[in-house]
Formats: sequence, C-alpha cells, structure tokens
Amino acid sequence: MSEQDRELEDRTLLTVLGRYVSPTRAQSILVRARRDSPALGLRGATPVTQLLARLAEGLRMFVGEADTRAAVTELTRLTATNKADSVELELRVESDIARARLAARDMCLALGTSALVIQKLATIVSELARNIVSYAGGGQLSIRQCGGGRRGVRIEARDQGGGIPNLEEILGGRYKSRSGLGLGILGTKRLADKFAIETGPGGTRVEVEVHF
Amino acid sequence: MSSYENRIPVIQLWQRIVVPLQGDVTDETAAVLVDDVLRTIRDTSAAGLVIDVTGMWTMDSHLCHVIANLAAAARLMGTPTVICGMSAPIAMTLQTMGADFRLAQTALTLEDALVRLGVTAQVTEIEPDDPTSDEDRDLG
Repeated sequence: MSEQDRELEDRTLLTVLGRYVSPTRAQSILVRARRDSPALGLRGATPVTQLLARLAEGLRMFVGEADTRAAVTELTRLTATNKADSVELELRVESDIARARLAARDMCLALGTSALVIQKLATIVSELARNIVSYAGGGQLSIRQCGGGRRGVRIEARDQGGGIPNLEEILGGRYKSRSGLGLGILGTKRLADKFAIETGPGGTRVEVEVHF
Repeated sequence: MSSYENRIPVIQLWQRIVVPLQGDVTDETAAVLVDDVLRTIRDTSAAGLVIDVTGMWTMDSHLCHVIANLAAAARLMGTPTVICGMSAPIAMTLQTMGADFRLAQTALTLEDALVRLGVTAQVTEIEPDDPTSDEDRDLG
C-alpha cells in the first residue's frame, strides 16, 4: 500500500480521471479502485498494476472503450518511470491457473490494450498454466512487457516435468486427444505473434509474444 | 470447497434449462456445473438446455471442452443444447485456436436460443401503472 501511495498520488490520478469523467465520478472510481485493490491480494499482479486495472474497470462503466484505453495509457505513463512491470507466478494447483489468467488480465487492463488482446493473452496464459499444472506437476510462469520498444507482452512458461513426447504431432495438428490436450499448445501457437518451444526429458520451456 | 459462492445457478423455465455462466469459471466450478446440469435434466426431463456465456470474460480450450462434453452428454439423454451470448473477442479467439463447437448449436442471444428450442414468446403491452386510476376508484 505504501509503495502504491508513493508512486501514485491521488491528486495526480484525479487530474487524469477528471479529463474523462466528472470530478465526482473520478473520485468514486478512485475510492473504489483503492478499496478493491488490496482485497484482491491473491491475484498475481503487482499492487500498481492491480490499481490501474481496477481504475480501467471503473472508467469503462462511464466512458467508451477508446476513452478508457486513452485514460489508462495516460495513467500508466504517470506510474512507470519506464520500469517495466512484470509478474512471476509459481504454479502448483488448479486455482493457480485462474490466478495466472487474472494477473494477465490485470496487466493488459493496466497497459490499456484492446478487448481482443486481453482475450488472447488470458487464453494463452490459461493454456500454458494448465499444461504446467495438469501435465508437469508444477512450474513457473512470467508475464512482462516486450523489450526493445515493442508494444506487446511476453510470456514465458517453464516446468521441470517429463517433456512433451509427441510435440511434432501436436503442432502438426494431427493429434486429437480426448482430454483436450493438444489444442492448448496448438491454440497458443495460433494465437501468438511469436512462439518458441523447447521440450525434453528435463522439462519444457515455452516463450510467447503477443503484440498490440 | 463446493460452497455456494462458486456454484452456477441452473434455472428451469418452460421445461428448458438455462445456465448463465459468469466471470471467471474455474475448473472446479465447471466440474460441479456439469454434475448439477445433468442431474437437473434427468430430474425434470428438460426439453432443451441453454448455456448463456454472456457474462464470461474468457474461455480457454479446457472450458470449451467441458461445455462440448456437457452438450454431448445432454444429447445422449435426449436434450439438445444451444450456446448463446458469446462475445466478439471470445469468438475470435476460439476461432483462431481452432476450437470445435459442432456438438452444440449456437445462437446470438438468449432469446434466439430459446426460440431455437421451441419456446415462442407472446409479448403483450404492460398495463401502465396509472396512479390516477386508484384515485378514481377511491372517489367513485
């Protein structure tokens, strides 16, 4: 909470919000966002990201998609002294999958991306997280902004499981499982703008980029 | 932890069942849902099942698979399924992924879905809530 306060002064936030909604609404959006952010501590994203995401949700109730995104882009610029926000998650159990995709959503909201990009990223994170939890017995997932001035998000999933033996078959679309596995990896590849996978008996590493 | 907070309502109307999915549906909630819906179909011999996904913010391949399986099981019990209310971003994402929804019919809105299942609505004008009519009666 204190870190959040240092980085984001209410007064500054209200100035930006006030450009899109009335002062009273700006105030109530902020109060609600401040109140809800710490309560959702189980979500994976950092406090600042969560606050921005809640502000985006609040704004969306009063102004259109385009204005919400413009406002959030402005707010994001205030917060980050170009310090790229990132999320590191440890995935073990099924509820971690939901936590991971909500973290991805919060990050997208804070970055002011389109609804389609949010959807793509949340789905990719969900698929990768599920593979880790269901088939590798646990692993790590990181979500961060793309480097090199590229507007986009980069996701890296790592596990120390037994690897995917029939990867070729899956990526070739020839693998049809009854459990739904296969579509996860192939679907992720289809949704991603950049996709790389390494798998072996020592584990699997998937790197995905989605550009805005 | 199958408490009420993560339980999805299974609504019965005109011998049809409507299931409104909402927010973030976890694997556990989805599993409980399949159970609840199939039991309700058996208990009520429902003539149709509508799965309304209007309130969902995302849908991954696992959830698609769960819904497709539910539709297939319902069909085995003789109950057709219609999925309705899919948002444009979800539809585009699923399409890109190559998800397969052929086992269930789809409709744009809940209304369309019910029509698909043979429910026809008769809409009449609502009597206007006229405060003067009460006064008239009092006076008369």
